[in-house]
Amino acid sequence: MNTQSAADGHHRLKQRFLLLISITFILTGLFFNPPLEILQGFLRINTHPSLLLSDYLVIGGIGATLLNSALIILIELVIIHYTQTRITGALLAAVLTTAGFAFFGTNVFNSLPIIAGALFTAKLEKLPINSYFLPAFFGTSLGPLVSYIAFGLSLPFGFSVPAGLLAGLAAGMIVPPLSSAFLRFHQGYNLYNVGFTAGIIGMVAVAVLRMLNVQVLPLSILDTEHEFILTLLTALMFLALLGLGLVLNGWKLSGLTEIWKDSGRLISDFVIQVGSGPALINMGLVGLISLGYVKLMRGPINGPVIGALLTLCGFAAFGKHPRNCIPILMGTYLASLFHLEQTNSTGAMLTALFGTTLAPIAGRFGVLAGVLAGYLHTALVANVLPLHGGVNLYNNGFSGGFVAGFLVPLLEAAQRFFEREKNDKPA
Amino acid sequence: MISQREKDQISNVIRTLCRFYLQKGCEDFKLDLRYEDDYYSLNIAGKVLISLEEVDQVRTNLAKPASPEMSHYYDELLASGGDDEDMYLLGYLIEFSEVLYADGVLSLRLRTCCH
Repeated sequence: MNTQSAADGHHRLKQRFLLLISITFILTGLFFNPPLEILQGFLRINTHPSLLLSDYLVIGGIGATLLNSALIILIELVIIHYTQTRITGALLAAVLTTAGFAFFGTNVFNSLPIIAGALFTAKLEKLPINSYFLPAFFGTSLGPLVSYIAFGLSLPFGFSVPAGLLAGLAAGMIVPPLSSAFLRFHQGYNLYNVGFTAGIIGMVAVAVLRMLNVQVLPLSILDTEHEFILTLLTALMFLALLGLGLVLNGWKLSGLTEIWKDSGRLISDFVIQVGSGPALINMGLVGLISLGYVKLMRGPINGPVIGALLTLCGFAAFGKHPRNCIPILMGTYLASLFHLEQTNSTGAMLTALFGTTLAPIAGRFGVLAGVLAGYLHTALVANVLPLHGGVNLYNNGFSGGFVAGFLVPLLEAAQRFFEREKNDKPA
Repeated sequence: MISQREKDQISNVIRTLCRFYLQKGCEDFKLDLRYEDDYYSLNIAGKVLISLEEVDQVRTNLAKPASPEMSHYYDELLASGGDDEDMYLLGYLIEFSEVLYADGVLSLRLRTCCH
């Protein structure tokens, strides 16, 4: 098989795998709830303000939540398919992340205008439409902005729904240029770059809303009833990814060391760099390690935690691997041990798992720097949430941008100092 | 007509290349930029202090397949890193590359499309 046909084959396999995940989600949902109940739950999800943390398992039930996540995957797959775009590691990360956030904030109603807005910007700039798939898909982190304006302000729906959709379109349109520009702030050391951008957009939008005397406050609606089935579903998905990766890689682990040597700094697309096989193995491993971490900490498995697990798994095709993630987990654990009331709350789990947005710092500057980054991230993440009031779902990406922007220049300066000292020493 | 965005991108590519050559101890290099209808080509050559492994790494970095989501979105990262990783990022933008190394002189011939 030549390289091109192998790449085509891998592309189709990845497409089918994502399709299989969405079909499995829908069928699992039907196992728990009858279709009418699922549709009613789906309607409740799509008409909920959806501010952080709104666990759709509570709002719509498990069947509707799984349907919502499956539809988000399907919408993105259709867009990818009809534009004949190859599924890179970055796109795998985007699809799995948005599928994860469809458990607690992203829904069909609030994501479509944002995606449309970002793709419209590509058209305006006369760029290929797939140039902006990443900001379009990740931009759905601003979904709650759409939903809150549409359904959270107690205004007549005839006014609020179009206003929400327009806000989503506008947010989608400004995400690509802003997120591209903000890359320079953290130099690619914050993997959830759109999360940082969405945090800034959310902060500005909420500030304007607050000037109009509109209160935007984060929520805390969390599920406690579906722990077993969610653990089983995610564990099976991660094992399937591991298995598929091994099959594509000829039952070898070759390529994995190459991935683990990478700093993970943007852009580290493991599918392009090393191939689909090793990238999928890494995804399965990172997924299983993160699920193991939650279980080891006796943390809960609810909608937001599932979102975090799927995000980690997705980004294991685009920058994350055990070597650069574990130091961050250690740093967040240390911080929560000393400073948080509970080391196994949903908040602590989310901070630890999403904190791996800073994995490239550990990959580039070493374990200690990674632990420090995780520690600082825990300190900052709760403080930035009130700035956007929960309209940005990627709050850890917002916080991670500041941590990386603060830490990386200092680490670089320290590195330069020690290198100079080493060179100045007499032989 | 070359757009502002393309001008910015070309400037970043040139900065990346200049920085790479300077970091490799080059004190005299020649850079030639030519803009055609739908692509631009860049040739750069100069004497550098570089190992054969590093030359191979440059070759691998520049041979990566270019992808639109990378070249029109992450191009802002170019020339922000300050180490060899920039050459790695550059690979995502380049559609054709030729790397020659002889007598200590590293010559790069690069070409990329404009959209």
